[in-house]
Amino acid sequence: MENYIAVRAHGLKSRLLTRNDYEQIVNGDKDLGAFKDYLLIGEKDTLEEKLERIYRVYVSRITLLAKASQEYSPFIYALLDRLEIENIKIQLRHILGYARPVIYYPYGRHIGPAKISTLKTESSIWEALRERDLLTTDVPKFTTGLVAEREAFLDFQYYAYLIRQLDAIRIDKEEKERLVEAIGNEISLYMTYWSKVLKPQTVGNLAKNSKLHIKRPEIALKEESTTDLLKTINEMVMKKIIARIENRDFTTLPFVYAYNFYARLEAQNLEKILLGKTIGLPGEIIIRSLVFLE
Amino acid sequence: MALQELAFLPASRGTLQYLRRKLELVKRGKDVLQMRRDQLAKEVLAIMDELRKRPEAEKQFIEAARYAAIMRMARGEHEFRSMSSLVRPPKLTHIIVSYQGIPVPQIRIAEEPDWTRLADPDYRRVIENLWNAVKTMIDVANKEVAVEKISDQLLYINRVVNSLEKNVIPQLESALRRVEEKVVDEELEDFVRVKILGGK
Repeated sequence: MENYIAVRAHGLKSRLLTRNDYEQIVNGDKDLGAFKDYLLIGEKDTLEEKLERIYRVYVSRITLLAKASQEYSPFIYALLDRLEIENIKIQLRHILGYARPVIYYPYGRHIGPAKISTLKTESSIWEALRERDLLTTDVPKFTTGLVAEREAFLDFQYYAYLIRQLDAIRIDKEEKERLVEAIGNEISLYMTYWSKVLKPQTVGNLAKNSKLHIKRPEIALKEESTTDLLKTINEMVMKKIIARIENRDFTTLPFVYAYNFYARLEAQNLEKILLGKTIGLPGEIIIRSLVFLE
Repeated sequence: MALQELAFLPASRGTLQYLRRKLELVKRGKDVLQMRRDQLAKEVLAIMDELRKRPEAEKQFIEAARYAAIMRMARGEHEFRSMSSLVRPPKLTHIIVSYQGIPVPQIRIAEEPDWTRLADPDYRRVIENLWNAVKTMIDVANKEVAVEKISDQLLYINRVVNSLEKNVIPQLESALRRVEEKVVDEELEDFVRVKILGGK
């Protein structure tokens, strides 16, 4: 069954957009709707509608894999649950900030966007997460008063949840170790970002609170700008983590983890392209911000 | 009294005195208006100096908006929109300020935006640059409105001074001359008549 899912993931991967496709969309040579998976996206749709449909494609791709195997679905769904965590972050910024209109990702296995938008206090958000078993530990006493500290905590809780879901499935021990290592490497790269936003000690405490043992990233990232840093992190995940999985786990479950990264990256790239074109940025700047499949 | 009526004024000492007083008043009024015009022109020139900041302010604003647009694209609409929720928007008020006695509408910043809830240094930089650019643009816009209003007043005063110089004063002077000549003639006539009658 594991091989079957991996093979399906390979099939799905072959339908992902290439660098050439991105360039054609950016240059206006082709509409996004011209690509089979994005047929439903019309030119007259609003930006919000287009973004919703792009992420629906991502969700449907991963859901297809999750549905293909009951045995591995908790882990595969957990990969997708990241969108729920992102929605929770959006809601936290909304209620702890100045309540401007926001848009949510169109996904909710535990707490859908409709439910999230009704959570108007911080405690109700933590309670909702605890009820749905998305929190591994108690919510710590936040020391900075910043929303970013809560967001970092949510990220670490998500990774702890992902590892927990991975622990629960039955796969080859070495494969599991490699997946845990890959997730650990991903966390350590994202630690670099959080350490730029918050004090390293605060980030360390949050990680410790989430019972994550994070090692130092293999490569020191020296980007000054956090936006550049996030792009480099995505490139590093691709080059160092995903490439390794592609080499060693071509027909096993870790490949699904790699495919999830590719599919999410495609959605993010398309979001950047549509947004860049809507606000009238030059094509070369849009292209420069994308991360392409190796 | 309308200027056209000056032609029909009776030639008398009383009229002569009235016209002299009127001419004196008009000339004094013209001088006062000229002084006011110079004062306003000086004020406009002083503000114009500050308006030279405009190209720089526009450049700064375009640069900040461009950087914000690139950042918005790079971070994605979902994140950018919700991050903007963490910034308290500025509060602007509208007041009327007197520039040399001319009422000019001006925008004042009642409350600066607050971005202390943003922790990401890139977002902070974007908001800070954008706000600084907007602040400079508000300052420039205030000055531009002031120049516009003062210039309107300046044009009006100029029209009045020109009208006094080219129309009212010459007509008054001409009427004054005519009445003066008539009064002198009449006085001479009376003098001669008295002399003749006295000789008899």
